[in-house]
Amino acid sequence: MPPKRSNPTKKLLFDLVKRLTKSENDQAVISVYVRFAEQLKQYSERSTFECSETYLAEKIKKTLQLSESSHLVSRFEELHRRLQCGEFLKKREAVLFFLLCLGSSQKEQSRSSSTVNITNLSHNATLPQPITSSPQTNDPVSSTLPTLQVTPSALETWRPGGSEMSVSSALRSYVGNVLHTSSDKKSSKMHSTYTSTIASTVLPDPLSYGCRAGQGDSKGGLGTSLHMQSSEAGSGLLMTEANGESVPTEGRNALFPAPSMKSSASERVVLQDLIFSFQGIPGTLLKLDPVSLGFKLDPRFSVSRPIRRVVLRLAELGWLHNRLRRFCEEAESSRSLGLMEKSLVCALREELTEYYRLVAVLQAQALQQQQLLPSADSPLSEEPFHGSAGSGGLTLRSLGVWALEPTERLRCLVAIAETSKNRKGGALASAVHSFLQSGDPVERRTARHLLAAVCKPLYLMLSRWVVDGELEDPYGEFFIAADPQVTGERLWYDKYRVQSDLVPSFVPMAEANKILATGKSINFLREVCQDQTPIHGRDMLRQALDAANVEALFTSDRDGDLGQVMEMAYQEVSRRVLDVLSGPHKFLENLHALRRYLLLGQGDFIRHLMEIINPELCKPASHLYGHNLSGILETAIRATNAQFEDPEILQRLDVRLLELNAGDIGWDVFTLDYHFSGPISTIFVPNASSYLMLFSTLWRAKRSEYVLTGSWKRQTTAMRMLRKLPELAPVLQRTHLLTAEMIHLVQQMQYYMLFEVLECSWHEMLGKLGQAESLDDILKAHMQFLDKTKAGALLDNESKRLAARLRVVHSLVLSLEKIETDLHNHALQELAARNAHENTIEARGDAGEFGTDTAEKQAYEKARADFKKKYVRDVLTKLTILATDYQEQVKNFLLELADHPNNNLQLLSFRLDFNDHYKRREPRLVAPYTYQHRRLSEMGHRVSLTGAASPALNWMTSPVSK
Amino acid sequence: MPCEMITLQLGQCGNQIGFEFWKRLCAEHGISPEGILEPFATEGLDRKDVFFYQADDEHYIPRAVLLDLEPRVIHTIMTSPYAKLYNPENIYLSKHGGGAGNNWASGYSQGDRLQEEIFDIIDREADGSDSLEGFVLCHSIAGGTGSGMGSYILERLTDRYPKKLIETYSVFPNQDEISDVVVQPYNSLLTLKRLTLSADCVVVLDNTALNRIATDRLHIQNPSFTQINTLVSTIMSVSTTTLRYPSYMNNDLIGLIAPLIPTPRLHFLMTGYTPLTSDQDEVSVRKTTVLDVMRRLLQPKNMMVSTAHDRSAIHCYISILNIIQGEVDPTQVHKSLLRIRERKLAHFIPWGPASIQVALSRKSPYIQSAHRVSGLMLANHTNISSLFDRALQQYDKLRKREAFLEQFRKEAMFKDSLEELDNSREVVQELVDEYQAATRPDYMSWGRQQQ
Repeated sequence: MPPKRSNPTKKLLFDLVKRLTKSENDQAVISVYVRFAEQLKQYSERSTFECSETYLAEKIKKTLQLSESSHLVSRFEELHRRLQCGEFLKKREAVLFFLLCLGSSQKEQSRSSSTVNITNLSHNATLPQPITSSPQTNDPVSSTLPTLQVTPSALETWRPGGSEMSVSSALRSYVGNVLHTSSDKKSSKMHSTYTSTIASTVLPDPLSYGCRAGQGDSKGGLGTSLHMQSSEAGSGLLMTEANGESVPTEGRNALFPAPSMKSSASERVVLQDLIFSFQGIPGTLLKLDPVSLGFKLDPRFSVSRPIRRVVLRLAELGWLHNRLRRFCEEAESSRSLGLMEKSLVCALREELTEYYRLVAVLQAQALQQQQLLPSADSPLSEEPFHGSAGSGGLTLRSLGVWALEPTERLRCLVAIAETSKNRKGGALASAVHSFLQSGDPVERRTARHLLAAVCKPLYLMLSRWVVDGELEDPYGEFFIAADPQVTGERLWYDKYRVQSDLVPSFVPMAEANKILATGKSINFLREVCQDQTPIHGRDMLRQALDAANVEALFTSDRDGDLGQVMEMAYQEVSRRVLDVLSGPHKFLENLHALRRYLLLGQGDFIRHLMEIINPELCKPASHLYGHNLSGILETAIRATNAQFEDPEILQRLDVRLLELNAGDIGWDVFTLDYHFSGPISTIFVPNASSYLMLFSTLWRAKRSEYVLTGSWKRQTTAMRMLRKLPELAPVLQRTHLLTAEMIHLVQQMQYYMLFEVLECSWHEMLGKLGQAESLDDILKAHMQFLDKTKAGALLDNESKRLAARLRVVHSLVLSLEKIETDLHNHALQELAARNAHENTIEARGDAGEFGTDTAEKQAYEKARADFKKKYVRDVLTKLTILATDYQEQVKNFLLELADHPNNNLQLLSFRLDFNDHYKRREPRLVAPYTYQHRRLSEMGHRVSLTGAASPALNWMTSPVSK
Repeated sequence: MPCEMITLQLGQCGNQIGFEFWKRLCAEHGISPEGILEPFATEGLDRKDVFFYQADDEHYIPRAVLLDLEPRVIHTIMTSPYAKLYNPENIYLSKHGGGAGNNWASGYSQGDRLQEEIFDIIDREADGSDSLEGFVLCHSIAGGTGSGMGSYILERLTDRYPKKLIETYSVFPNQDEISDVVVQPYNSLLTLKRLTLSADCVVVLDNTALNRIATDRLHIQNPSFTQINTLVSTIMSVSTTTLRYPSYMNNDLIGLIAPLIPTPRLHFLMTGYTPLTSDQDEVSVRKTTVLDVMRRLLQPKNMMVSTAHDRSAIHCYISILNIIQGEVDPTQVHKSLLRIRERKLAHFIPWGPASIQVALSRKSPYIQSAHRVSGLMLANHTNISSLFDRALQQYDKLRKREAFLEQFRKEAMFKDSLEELDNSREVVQELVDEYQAATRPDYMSWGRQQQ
């Protein structure tokens, strides 16, 4: 305080002020004016503002503008012009400066009575020259610019985000951030101490509130300056509190002596060390810990606790810097550095460069101070330690303020760097992206900037993929990967895939799949369809992608331009694929052909083929020749409506013999085949086996029908002749009825499979195909169709036993045919024998001989009796056994159907036994039909476990009742 | 082309319904009355070659043989726009042109006399087909030519083509009006014997029911032959639709009738058709669903056979085949069947599995129908025996009085004895008995009882 000083000039001033203001008691006010006076004196002595009258005028104007008194600006201009014209005032600069100071101080005072502000302002205003060599030097006016201006600009250039930040929010976020880090395990002790103090002290302090409140309307340099003030005030208070002193608001000078060092040299050392540490260089006082990369104070130096705290807190910046640098170095030294990682490292390096720029500024300040202090010959130079602070050099506290934002920023960068360590590609992007969710705008902005950098390669890869279908991904970072070995019809399925761990979190999986489909479709068109025609809208897409910003990739707005472009690209190329498939490659035609030929839709063709191929297929399988069968196929095609088919499709149709097993006959190994080639094989080849399976099932059923109707026809037409053999009647009746029974089952099964299953699913599929937007939709619909049809044809896993039973039924059909043909032939022989006998007798009678002799008659009678007794009875027995066997099989088939999980199959059982024929014979069949049973089976047999009126119980008891 | 069918039209009635049948087939296949394929019908999804063949000049010619003993109907055909449709070589008119005088015996014996010429035509036609499936015979059982010559040809066909199927569309006389043909009961009985023994499948078209349907359901006061025959042609064309529009199933005649006829003698099928509309009828706006159609088909009033509805008798369906055309979703069929079963709308035989079989068939794209769904039922019902029973009763009445037999005695066949009549009665009685037996669970052992 002034009274302490021995300087006479000062004392004089003090008195003057005291007298002028007439406020002897108010020490604070007096000291303010004393300071003013001192500054004025300094200025006049150094006459530094001779040339800066304009500047000062401008400054005042700006202040006026900012302080909501813009109407005063013109007034001031007018006054100033008059002042310039008038000769009466010589030291206009000094006057203006005085006015300026007065203006600002009044404003400050109106907000808080603290003197700190003014002190601070003055010291800022008188900042030494060299500082101005910082980034703003190109501005001639600012050659005398106080740091007030320099600081924000320095900060500003350092911040690539570039946008201004309101100080209050900075403060808030700073505290928040610190609090945040304190909760983090990584945070050092230094952190936590600092945090707790600042949390408890700074926030409730009325000063900082005042400052913040004042920030709202102030902008630009002034704002930043205020920020500095408040922060400094904060740290000042902090120190005081740490020293255990009370916190008077008189001003800083009053507090300062407390933290003063044992020697003034040590602060300079500390400052220098800190600045060094900011760049990761250990100094005399601060030693580098090579493990943690942090700095610690050399224990040989004794530093007071508050200073130690401040120093250690500031040293965090160095630690952060070291970690960041090490991250960059490590990443760069890694051999498999991906493009996205490289981008990240570059972005981080850029950040570091900016940071170094700031450090350089600080360093320059520190250096200048060092040079300035010893050489300054001014009266004030005698002032010790705090004097230099007061006159505006670099102090520990101002360094603290300086370091505030970089620390925050670096902390954020380190956090991002740490999280993205050992990640690549999309995972890296996801890691960085997670910081976008942060509530801290600084962090968000930083993360955004980094993410944009990281995503740039991703975006390029994406564009290339979506536009050209090319994968340019030397480091395997893109979330779509290709297997170069896959070609042809598997291309669509296996070649490309989404690597889910590389999908950035901001790309939803559905989107990723669409992106996959887009590029895949392009490749499909190019490689499989050999389609070289340009896809509509490709150039537009390219332009759109070029125009779109990388950031659009990770902004949450999915309906934004990029999203639309992607969607459009997907739809466009999907449609193109569909067009190509259904256009030149006749997808639908082939599908229809498959239904017509492999699924027996072309009934007349199938019927005729079966008729003419039958003799061939009854041969042993090893006696079959493909060319014979092909010839038969040709004949069948020519003879039926198949001849009107597209020749291209007919070419695909072929016969095939499956693998031979010993004892197979032609029927066992024959199958129709359909050759797929070109793009449609993508759809069909993976399902070719399904079609063959379906064909063989349907063909087998058809064959049973054919055999039975053939047998029926033989019986019916033979009936006309066999009436002459009345002893055959019972056996014929038996055969008729068994044939009818089998025909019923075979017809109903066929009807079920072909109409209710195949045709229904077919129409369902056609509906879906009509709406299909992409090949995947088609594949899905097709797959569903096949699955349903297979389930209906008892080809799924649940129906294996049913299918086996049905095969037995089919084999019984063949047994019946065998018995029937045998009977037929025997009967015809018998008939012929009788006719021959009668004819002989008649002929002999005509010739006048005896009709027959005894021996002949006996032989004839015996043969007749044999036929009647032995053969007919034999056949009847065989038939009875067969019938019993067949009925048993059908019964079991029905029982299993009724118990089948597939509801449709349960209902089939009612079709097969529409008039309850089997139910009447098999009491066990009654239960499954009941509504109760169906309900229970739908409930998953839950009740059956409890044993209440369950079908299971019924089933168990039924054999007894039988 | 496999599975060809040759149509034989006999007598006045046979040729009339045949004429209507071909008219309809031409319309359905898009063939002009001259036999030229209409330009809109070139798609070729239908099988025209079952009933037609192509001449060298691309004309479509029906596989039809027109036979008659008197010229009236054939002359009408030959003066109609469809005159050029038929192969003139296939039209056979008896030279003496006097007809059969509604006498079965006359028709039969004339058949015998003319058989060479007739079978020349039939053989030529049969040789012209790749893989003949069978013959379709159109005739009435009451007159002279259709019944008498028809019977003769039936017998010869089974000898000559023992492995071909013979399906007949047989028109049974109207019981409601007094016929001017007094020997009708004899004619019917004698024809019925041949239908029982020589035909494989007889679609019974009962004039009684057809007239009743025309008056009751179509509100035509005095239905003309043409109107009745339109009904018949509908039945004929729909019952062959699965042969002409191939699909998964029932693409040949045998596949169609084998499931319907469990034992060879029970091969008399009833038909029913819905919805019925006539030309005069304004388009009814009634909704037709599969269930509606299938339910209505089971109603006796839609049956083309008038069976005495005997409630006490336990007559039942041996089999049913519904040919459903139109926009049909197979799941609807399933639901309808479920409903019919639940409501017990159809009573089936007790001795074997039987059900309503359904054939979903395509429809000709060239004929517009006001109905979404239409259905034809082919049913094998034991109640058809009542028709034969009635024929037997009428025969017995006449026979008791020995009435009108002199006409028969004029022919060689009956000169010596009337054994043939007794024999026919026996056969028909046996048929009635078998139908009766088929209502009982022990039908399985029917053959044994006969012994």
